[in-house]
Amino acid sequence: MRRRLRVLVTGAAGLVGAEVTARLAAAGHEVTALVHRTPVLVGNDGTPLEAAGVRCLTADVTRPRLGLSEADHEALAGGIDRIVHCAAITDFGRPEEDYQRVNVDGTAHVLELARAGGADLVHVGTAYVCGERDGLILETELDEGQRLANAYEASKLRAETLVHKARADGVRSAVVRPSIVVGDEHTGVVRDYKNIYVVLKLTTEGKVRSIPGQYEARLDLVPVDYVADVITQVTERFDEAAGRTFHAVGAPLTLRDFSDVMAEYPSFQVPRFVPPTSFDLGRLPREERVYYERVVALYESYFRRRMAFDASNTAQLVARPAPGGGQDFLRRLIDHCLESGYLGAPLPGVADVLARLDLTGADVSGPAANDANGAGR
Amino acid sequence: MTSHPNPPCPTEDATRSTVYAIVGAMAPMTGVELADETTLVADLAYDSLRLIELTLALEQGFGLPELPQEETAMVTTLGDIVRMVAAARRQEAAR
Repeated sequence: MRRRLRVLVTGAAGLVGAEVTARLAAAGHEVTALVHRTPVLVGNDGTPLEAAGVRCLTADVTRPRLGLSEADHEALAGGIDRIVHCAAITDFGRPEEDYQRVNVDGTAHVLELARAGGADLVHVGTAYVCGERDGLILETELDEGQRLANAYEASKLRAETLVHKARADGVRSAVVRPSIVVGDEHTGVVRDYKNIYVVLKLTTEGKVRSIPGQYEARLDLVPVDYVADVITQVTERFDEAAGRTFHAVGAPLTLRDFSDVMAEYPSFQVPRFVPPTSFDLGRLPREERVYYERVVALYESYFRRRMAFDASNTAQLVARPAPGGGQDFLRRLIDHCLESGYLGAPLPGVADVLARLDLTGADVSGPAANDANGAGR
Repeated sequence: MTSHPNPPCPTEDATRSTVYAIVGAMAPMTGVELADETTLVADLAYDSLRLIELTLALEQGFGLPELPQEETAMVTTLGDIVRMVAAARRQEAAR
């Protein structure tokens, strides 16, 4: 017999937040969905969430008291048993202060709410707080003096550290750390094409043809539905989960796996991963250099890492088996992208559009685009 | 930086028609009537990658140096782009 819980979900309009909200509401809990701007919640499959028992609340985690009046903040704090903190900036390349405001200050404000109301906190972090550490990453490890690759990782480490510190003054919490969140385990369906999808698009369309990286490097992709299940179970079984951390991760894929699977699709270009030491940005054609600098460079560290995530705590608590599938899962993700038109139907390139509009200045054409860093085929 | 579509010291109006042409031709969603209020994401289906490509197209089409990310991140409508590009062109012309 489960008790009906009153749960606040922050970031409820986000990819993970919406799925968690849907699951908690379906299980009969009373959910307050905290949203920043988007007042309509949409599930991962694109259908609006019209669950009974969900109340939307517009608030701003970057502001003290979440931007609510003192009275509203007090009422909110008094009316919730648990908080699931999903609100975060997860895309890369934003200004440093955005990560601080949303990911770190946002977590501090949510902790204040938990403290004010005596609510338990389920904090959604990232497996990549491990930074550039190699080898097996344990759920019990957090700050091991690791080097962090970017402002996103650094902010998530600071946020999780705040959650740990708050335990000392009585805020009970559990942490769920997803890896790279992608489409549904069985259908490959995803609502937002971000992060890894953008790299997939740039490479399969041949806009980026060589990437500094190692074929043995591993990327851990985890289905969004699995992540939402883990968070939901940790929330419902909080007494068992309190004080612990749960990796919500998938089966890691090597860049060799990526390369092999991409080569199965006749319409795809396959990028070459070249040893970082022999990669020369200056030899890229202008357009590829811009894509590299503005997009691919943000992920570069991930194409060198060989970590593996231990998920013993999750295996012990969560009934659903960890996602497997490796290459098959990647095929499912790509097949969905082809069905939805995200991949396989490239829009006209910048040079083509400008030529068509007769705006081709001298600065448009770059060096010959046929043999960047030996990526020519 | 040769073959500019417009003379130096450009005004917003002179910039507008070229901006409209580029934004319209780059847009994932076609057949939408363009106005200053038209939004890039909701109306024209731009995603994050296509927005980067649009920035590139604007820089190259107008012969501008790299538009700073703090500015491009604030853009939501066609009118915002017209103002951003016009300001960047005035800055270029003043150099």
